[in-house]
Amino acid sequence: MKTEREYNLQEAINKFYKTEPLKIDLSTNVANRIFVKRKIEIALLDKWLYAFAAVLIFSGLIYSFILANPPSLLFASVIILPIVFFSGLSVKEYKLMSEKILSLE
Amino acid sequence: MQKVQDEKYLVNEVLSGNKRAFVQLIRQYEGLVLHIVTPLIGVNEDREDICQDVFIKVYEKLNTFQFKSKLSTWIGNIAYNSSINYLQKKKNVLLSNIVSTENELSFIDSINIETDNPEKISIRREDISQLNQSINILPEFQKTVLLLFYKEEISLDEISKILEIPVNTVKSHLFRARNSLKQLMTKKETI
Repeated sequence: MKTEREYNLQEAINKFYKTEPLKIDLSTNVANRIFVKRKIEIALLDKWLYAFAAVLIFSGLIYSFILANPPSLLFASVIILPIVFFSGLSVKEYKLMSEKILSLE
Repeated sequence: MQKVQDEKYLVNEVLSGNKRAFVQLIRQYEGLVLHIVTPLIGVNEDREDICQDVFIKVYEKLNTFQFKSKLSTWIGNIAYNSSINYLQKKKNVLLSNIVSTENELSFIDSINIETDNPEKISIRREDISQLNQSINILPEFQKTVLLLFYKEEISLDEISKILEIPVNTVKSHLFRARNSLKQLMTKKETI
Protein backbone atom coordinates (compact mmCIF):
# COMPACT_ATOMS: atom_id res chain seq x y z
CA MET A 1 0.00 0.00 0.00
CA LYS A 2 1.31 3.41 -0.96
CA THR A 3 2.00 5.62 2.10
CA GLU A 4 1.20 9.28 1.76
CA ARG A 5 4.00 11.77 2.16
CA GLU A 6 3.61 14.02 5.21
CA TYR A 7 5.24 17.39 5.72
CA ASN A 8 6.04 19.23 8.90
CA LEU A 9 4.91 22.83 9.20
CA GLN A 10 8.25 24.32 8.13
CA GLU A 11 8.41 22.20 4.98
CA ALA A 12 4.77 22.72 4.11
CA ILE A 13 4.89 26.51 4.42
CA ASN A 14 8.21 26.76 2.66
CA LYS A 15 7.21 24.57 -0.24
CA PHE A 16 3.56 25.29 -0.75
CA TYR A 17 2.49 28.59 0.76
CA LYS A 18 2.51 31.35 -1.83
CA THR A 19 1.84 34.97 -1.03
CA GLU A 20 -0.14 36.52 -3.84
CA PRO A 21 2.43 38.16 -6.13
CA LEU A 22 2.27 41.83 -7.10
CA LYS A 23 0.68 42.71 -10.42
CA ILE A 24 3.61 44.94 -11.34
CA ASP A 25 7.27 44.23 -12.02
CA LEU A 26 8.47 45.83 -8.81
CA SER A 27 12.20 46.00 -9.56
CA THR A 28 11.82 47.53 -13.04
CA ASN A 29 9.14 49.98 -11.90
CA VAL A 30 11.09 51.29 -8.92
CA ALA A 31 14.45 51.42 -10.73
CA ASN A 32 12.88 53.30 -13.63
CA ARG A 33 11.14 55.76 -11.31
CA ILE A 34 14.44 56.57 -9.61
CA PHE A 35 16.86 56.47 -12.53
CA VAL A 36 14.64 58.18 -15.13
CA LYS A 37 14.13 61.03 -12.65
CA ARG A 38 17.90 61.35 -12.26
CA LYS A 39 18.36 61.26 -16.04
CA ILE A 40 15.95 64.19 -16.44
CA GLU A 41 17.76 66.11 -13.69
CA ILE A 42 21.10 65.52 -15.43
CA ALA A 43 19.67 66.56 -18.82
CA LEU A 44 18.46 69.81 -17.25
CA LEU A 45 21.89 70.35 -15.73
CA ASP A 46 23.42 69.70 -19.17
CA LYS A 47 21.44 72.62 -20.62
CA TRP A 48 22.57 75.00 -17.88
CA LEU A 49 26.19 73.94 -18.23
CA TYR A 50 26.24 74.65 -21.98
CA ALA A 51 24.38 77.94 -21.48
CA PHE A 52 26.95 79.00 -18.87
CA ALA A 53 29.88 78.14 -21.16
CA ALA A 54 28.23 80.08 -24.03
CA VAL A 55 27.71 83.15 -21.83
CA LEU A 56 31.36 83.02 -20.71
CA ILE A 57 32.65 82.82 -24.29
CA PHE A 58 30.24 85.48 -25.55
CA SER A 59 31.15 87.94 -22.77
CA GLY A 60 34.85 87.26 -23.44
CA LEU A 61 34.29 88.20 -27.08
CA ILE A 62 32.40 91.37 -26.18
CA TYR A 63 35.10 92.39 -23.72
CA SER A 64 37.87 91.76 -26.23
CA PHE A 65 36.31 93.61 -29.17
CA ILE A 66 34.27 96.37 -27.54
CA LEU A 67 35.47 97.08 -24.04
CA ALA A 68 39.16 96.32 -24.35
CA ASN A 69 41.32 99.24 -25.44
CA PRO A 70 42.63 98.72 -28.08
CA PRO A 71 40.44 95.79 -29.30
CA SER A 72 42.49 92.93 -30.66
CA LEU A 73 42.13 89.33 -31.81
CA LEU A 74 45.22 88.34 -29.82
CA PHE A 75 43.69 89.71 -26.62
CA ALA A 76 40.42 87.90 -27.42
CA SER A 77 42.23 84.61 -27.91
CA VAL A 78 44.08 85.08 -24.61
CA ILE A 79 40.68 85.28 -22.88
CA ILE A 80 38.66 82.85 -24.99
CA LEU A 81 41.15 79.99 -25.31
CA PRO A 82 41.55 79.30 -21.55
CA ILE A 83 37.76 79.55 -21.16
CA VAL A 84 37.20 77.02 -23.95
CA PHE A 85 39.98 74.80 -22.61
CA PHE A 86 38.70 74.69 -19.02
CA SER A 87 35.06 74.50 -20.08
CA GLY A 88 35.97 71.58 -22.34
CA LEU A 89 37.73 69.80 -19.50
CA SER A 90 34.79 70.40 -17.15
CA VAL A 91 32.26 69.17 -19.68
CA LYS A 92 34.36 66.06 -20.36
CA GLU A 93 34.68 65.29 -16.66
CA TYR A 94 31.00 65.98 -16.13
CA LYS A 95 30.06 63.65 -18.98
CA LEU A 96 32.21 60.87 -17.57
CA MET A 97 30.57 61.34 -14.18
CA SER A 98 27.04 61.35 -15.55
CA GLU A 99 27.80 58.24 -17.62
CA LYS A 100 29.00 56.50 -14.47
CA ILE A 101 25.92 57.62 -12.56
CA LEU A 102 23.59 56.36 -15.26
CA SER A 103 25.67 53.28 -15.93
CA LEU A 104 23.75 50.07 -16.42
CA GLU A 105 26.78 47.98 -15.68
CA MET B 1 31.04 36.52 6.32
CA GLN B 2 30.80 36.10 2.56
CA LYS B 3 27.19 37.28 2.73
CA VAL B 4 28.19 40.46 4.57
CA GLN B 5 30.81 41.20 1.90
CA ASP B 6 28.28 40.55 -0.85
CA GLU B 7 25.90 42.93 0.89
CA LYS B 8 28.62 45.58 1.16
CA TYR B 9 29.50 45.19 -2.50
CA LEU B 10 25.86 45.42 -3.54
CA VAL B 11 25.23 48.48 -1.36
CA ASN B 12 28.36 50.24 -2.66
CA GLU B 13 27.38 49.51 -6.26
CA VAL B 14 23.90 50.94 -5.69
CA LEU B 15 25.39 54.00 -3.99
CA SER B 16 27.69 54.59 -6.97
CA GLY B 17 24.60 54.73 -9.21
CA ASN B 18 24.56 51.23 -10.64
CA LYS B 19 20.99 50.64 -11.79
CA ARG B 20 21.44 46.90 -12.29
CA ALA B 21 22.73 46.49 -8.76
CA PHE B 22 19.64 48.25 -7.47
CA VAL B 23 17.38 45.99 -9.55
CA GLN B 24 19.25 42.99 -8.09
CA LEU B 25 18.80 44.35 -4.56
CA ILE B 26 15.05 44.74 -5.11
CA ARG B 27 14.73 41.22 -6.52
CA GLN B 28 16.70 39.83 -3.57
CA TYR B 29 14.51 41.44 -0.92
CA GLU B 30 11.15 41.64 -2.73
CA GLY B 31 9.91 38.45 -1.06
CA LEU B 32 10.82 39.69 2.39
CA VAL B 33 9.02 42.99 1.84
CA LEU B 34 6.00 41.18 0.41
CA HIS B 35 5.84 38.85 3.44
CA ILE B 36 5.77 41.85 5.78
CA VAL B 37 3.49 44.18 3.83
CA THR B 38 0.87 41.64 2.64
CA PRO B 39 -0.21 40.20 6.01
CA LEU B 40 -0.48 43.67 7.50
CA ILE B 41 -2.11 45.53 4.58
CA GLY B 42 -3.93 42.74 2.76
CA VAL B 43 -4.06 42.11 -0.98
CA ASN B 44 -5.17 45.42 -2.47
CA GLU B 45 -3.99 48.21 -4.79
CA ASP B 46 -2.24 50.08 -2.00
CA ARG B 47 0.04 47.09 -1.40
CA GLU B 48 1.82 47.78 -4.68
CA ASP B 49 2.33 51.46 -3.84
CA ILE B 50 3.65 50.59 -0.39
CA CYS B 51 6.13 48.04 -1.78
CA GLN B 52 7.37 50.63 -4.28
CA ASP B 53 7.66 53.28 -1.58
CA VAL B 54 9.65 50.87 0.60
CA PHE B 55 12.35 50.48 -2.06
CA ILE B 56 12.36 54.18 -2.88
CA LYS B 57 12.99 54.84 0.82
CA VAL B 58 15.68 52.15 0.81
CA TYR B 59 17.40 53.93 -2.08
CA GLU B 60 17.12 57.35 -0.46
CA LYS B 61 18.37 56.19 2.93
CA LEU B 62 20.96 53.64 1.78
CA ASN B 63 23.86 56.05 2.41
CA THR B 64 22.88 56.06 6.11
CA PHE B 65 23.03 52.24 6.41
CA GLN B 66 26.00 51.47 8.67
CA PHE B 67 26.07 47.62 8.43
CA LYS B 68 25.32 47.42 12.15
CA SER B 69 22.51 45.00 11.31
CA LYS B 70 21.84 42.72 8.37
CA LEU B 71 20.58 44.49 5.25
CA SER B 72 17.48 42.27 5.36
CA THR B 73 16.70 43.45 8.92
CA TRP B 74 17.09 47.08 7.89
CA ILE B 75 14.92 46.73 4.78
CA GLY B 76 12.37 44.63 6.70
CA ASN B 77 12.10 47.36 9.33
CA ILE B 78 11.47 49.99 6.64
CA ALA B 79 8.74 47.75 5.17
CA TYR B 80 7.18 47.26 8.60
CA ASN B 81 7.19 50.99 9.44
CA SER B 82 5.75 51.88 6.03
CA SER B 83 2.91 49.39 6.54
CA ILE B 84 2.18 50.63 10.07
CA ASN B 85 2.22 54.27 8.91
CA TYR B 86 -0.22 53.37 6.15
CA LEU B 87 -2.56 51.59 8.58
CA GLN B 88 -2.45 54.46 11.04
CA LYS B 89 -2.99 57.15 8.42
CA LYS B 90 -5.49 55.53 6.09
CA LYS B 91 -7.38 53.19 8.34
CA ASN B 92 -6.89 54.85 11.73
CA VAL B 93 -5.76 51.53 13.19
CA LEU B 94 -3.97 51.74 16.52
CA LEU B 95 -0.61 50.00 16.63
CA SER B 96 -1.59 48.28 19.89
CA ASN B 97 -4.58 46.70 18.12
CA ILE B 98 -2.30 45.08 15.57
CA VAL B 99 0.51 43.97 17.85
CA SER B 100 -1.70 43.06 20.86
CA THR B 101 1.14 42.15 23.21
CA GLU B 102 -0.82 42.43 26.44
CA ASN B 103 -1.51 38.72 26.68
CA GLU B 104 2.06 37.60 26.16
CA LEU B 105 2.37 34.02 27.28
CA SER B 106 4.11 33.77 30.66
CA PHE B 107 5.73 30.37 30.03
CA ILE B 108 7.10 31.36 26.62
CA ASP B 109 10.55 32.12 28.03
CA SER B 110 11.11 28.45 28.81
CA ILE B 111 10.34 27.29 25.28
CA ASN B 112 13.02 27.05 22.64
CA ILE B 113 10.68 27.61 19.77
CA GLU B 114 13.33 26.98 17.13
CA THR B 115 14.08 23.44 18.33
CA ASP B 116 11.24 22.35 20.63
CA ASN B 117 8.08 21.64 18.78
CA PRO B 118 5.52 20.33 21.26
CA GLU B 119 2.68 21.03 18.86
CA LYS B 120 4.26 19.22 15.95
CA ILE B 121 2.00 19.44 12.95
CA SER B 122 2.09 16.89 10.17
CA ILE B 123 0.43 17.90 6.97
CA ARG B 124 -0.56 15.59 4.17
CA ARG B 125 -0.19 16.72 0.57
CA GLU B 126 -3.97 16.83 0.14
CA ASP B 127 -4.31 19.17 3.13
CA ILE B 128 -1.98 21.83 1.75
CA SER B 129 -4.78 24.03 0.40
CA GLN B 130 -6.45 23.85 3.83
CA LEU B 131 -3.19 24.93 5.40
CA ASN B 132 -2.95 27.92 3.03
CA GLN B 133 -6.52 28.94 3.83
CA SER B 134 -5.83 28.59 7.56
CA ILE B 135 -2.71 30.77 7.31
CA ASN B 136 -4.67 33.43 5.44
CA ILE B 137 -7.19 33.81 8.27
CA LEU B 138 -4.60 34.18 11.05
CA PRO B 139 -4.39 37.62 12.74
CA GLU B 140 -2.06 40.03 10.91
CA PHE B 141 0.84 39.91 13.32
CA GLN B 142 0.78 36.14 13.82
CA LYS B 143 0.76 35.66 10.07
CA THR B 144 3.67 38.08 9.60
CA VAL B 145 5.76 36.36 12.26
CA LEU B 146 4.90 32.91 10.89
CA LEU B 147 5.88 33.83 7.32
CA LEU B 148 9.08 35.57 8.36
CA PHE B 149 10.10 32.60 10.50
CA TYR B 150 9.16 29.73 8.20
CA LYS B 151 9.07 31.20 4.70
CA GLU B 152 11.90 33.73 4.93
CA GLU B 153 13.80 31.66 7.55
CA ILE B 154 14.62 34.73 9.63
CA SER B 155 15.73 34.22 13.24
CA LEU B 156 13.53 35.27 16.17
CA ASP B 157 16.07 37.91 17.14
CA GLU B 158 15.99 39.48 13.68
CA ILE B 159 12.19 39.33 13.55
CA SER B 160 12.09 41.19 16.87
CA LYS B 161 14.32 43.92 15.37
CA ILE B 162 12.24 44.17 12.19
CA LEU B 163 8.94 44.40 14.05
CA GLU B 164 10.37 46.41 16.96
CA ILE B 165 8.94 44.06 19.60
CA PRO B 166 10.68 41.93 22.27
CA VAL B 167 11.84 38.42 21.32
CA ASN B 168 9.38 36.91 23.79
CA THR B 169 6.50 38.66 22.04
CA VAL B 170 7.70 37.21 18.73
CA LYS B 171 7.81 33.75 20.34
CA SER B 172 4.35 34.30 21.74
CA HIS B 173 2.93 35.25 18.32
CA LEU B 174 4.62 32.25 16.72
CA PHE B 175 3.35 29.91 19.41
CA ARG B 176 -0.21 31.21 19.02
CA ALA B 177 0.01 31.03 15.23
CA ARG B 178 1.08 27.39 15.34
CA ASN B 179 -1.64 26.50 17.84
CA SER B 180 -4.28 28.30 15.79
CA LEU B 181 -3.11 26.47 12.68
CA LYS B 182 -3.30 23.14 14.46
CA GLN B 183 -6.81 23.88 15.69
CA LEU B 184 -7.98 25.13 12.30
CA MET B 185 -6.56 22.10 10.55
CA THR B 186 -8.12 19.60 12.98
CA LYS B 187 -11.47 21.43 12.86
CA LYS B 188 -11.59 21.15 9.10
CA GLU B 189 -10.61 17.50 9.26
CA THR B 190 -13.47 16.67 11.62
CA ILE B 191 -16.10 18.55 9.56
